[in-house]
Amino acid sequence: MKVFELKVSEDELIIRLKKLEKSAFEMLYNTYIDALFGVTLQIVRSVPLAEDVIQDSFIKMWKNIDKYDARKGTLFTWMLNITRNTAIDKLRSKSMKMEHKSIDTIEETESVEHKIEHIGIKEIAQKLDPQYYELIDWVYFKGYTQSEVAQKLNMPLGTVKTKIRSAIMQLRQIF
Amino acid sequence: MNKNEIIESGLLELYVLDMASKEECVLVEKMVNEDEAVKQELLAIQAGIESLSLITEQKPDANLKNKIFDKYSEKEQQEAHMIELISHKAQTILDQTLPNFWNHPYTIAATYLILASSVFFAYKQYDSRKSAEQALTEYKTKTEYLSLQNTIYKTNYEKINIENQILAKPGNKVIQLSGTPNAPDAIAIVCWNTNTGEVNIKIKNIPELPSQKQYQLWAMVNGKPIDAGLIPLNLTNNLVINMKPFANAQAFAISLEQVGGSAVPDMQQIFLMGNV
Repeated sequence: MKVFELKVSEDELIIRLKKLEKSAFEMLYNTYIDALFGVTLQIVRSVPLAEDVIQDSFIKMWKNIDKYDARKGTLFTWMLNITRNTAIDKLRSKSMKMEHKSIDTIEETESVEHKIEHIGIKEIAQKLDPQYYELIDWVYFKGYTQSEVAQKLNMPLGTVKTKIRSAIMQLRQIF
Repeated sequence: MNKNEIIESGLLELYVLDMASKEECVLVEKMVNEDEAVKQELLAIQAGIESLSLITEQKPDANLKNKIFDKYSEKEQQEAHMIELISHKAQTILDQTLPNFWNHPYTIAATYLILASSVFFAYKQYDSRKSAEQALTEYKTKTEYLSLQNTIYKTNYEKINIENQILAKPGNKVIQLSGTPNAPDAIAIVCWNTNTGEVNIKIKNIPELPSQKQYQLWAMVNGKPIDAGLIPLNLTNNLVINMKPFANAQAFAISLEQVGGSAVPDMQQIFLMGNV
């Protein structure tokens, strides 16, 4: 299953990216920006912050493209992880600055203050089991680690792993 | 772990979400390389996650693109990238091949001495009373320092070249040996050529030898440990060592034995092991 359409083959694009061709990075931007920006916005919930994250992420991609290994995953998964990690880092450092409030309190106040609730998110929330939706929200949009999830759910790590698998299985069946 | 166990475990999902630990990543990458079904499952999970990001798509302001691509002209990035790459490579070479040499207090002292003396002579150069003799000494010191450095790089380069040649041979199987509770940080890679039987090993973080002791490699052949050779006493991290060849083996292990080795391994003193 291929979800994005590139104008050149992915192999060719990777070769051009590794040569640091600007036009190749522009193609990457044009193809994937809406998806990356949407995810970033869901994580940081502020347009200026999301723009910062995207800028930082593209610099990281530019600097680390030589480390990208196609055997380990698709180009988009690689970009998505760089962007998600950058966004989550930004969110966490921002919440640290806010008088050492815990991440939870920040999330609660933020989502009330500026609710950028994407229509797609509602769709996901409606179609998934509530427990699976919550799990995907935690790991995908909030960047919780395995042990943070284990702590929240009061479950052993092994169970967390299989739960995450079930959640993604359901996601794969629906979307 | 077999292929069904790894698929069912949820590890592949964690890997795609970038939540897996280093050890888990190593395991996943190994299984994906070895088994087509695991690879297909990984690709399907990636596609699933990718479709999630299609649902939440959002167009940013048109100016964002200019902000990214104007600010970082191609040339600047390429230069920065090259410098980073070169310094990273140089550091890796130094870290990997000469840790003992560089970490030795005398080496550090000597390096600083050489550096300090070249700074001193550089200062002297601006001194109008500098004599021709001093200038000559300065260049001598600098040249000696540079040629010393050059030799180090050359040796390392050759070492890496040899290693690459060993690793790139067809028929090679890479087996990771993990530390037992005797040496939890230790790690070793056995490179076993199933065509020629050649066995090479690279060991890292193995505890320092007690006196009168030596490490010995064993190959498990049909349930029996067979001597695969002694690890040199003056072992340094990451050096590739050539061991005895084997046509058939199911596992490899390293034990601590008396200097000169034993005929059978001391089972209490197994330090590293791994299955083929």
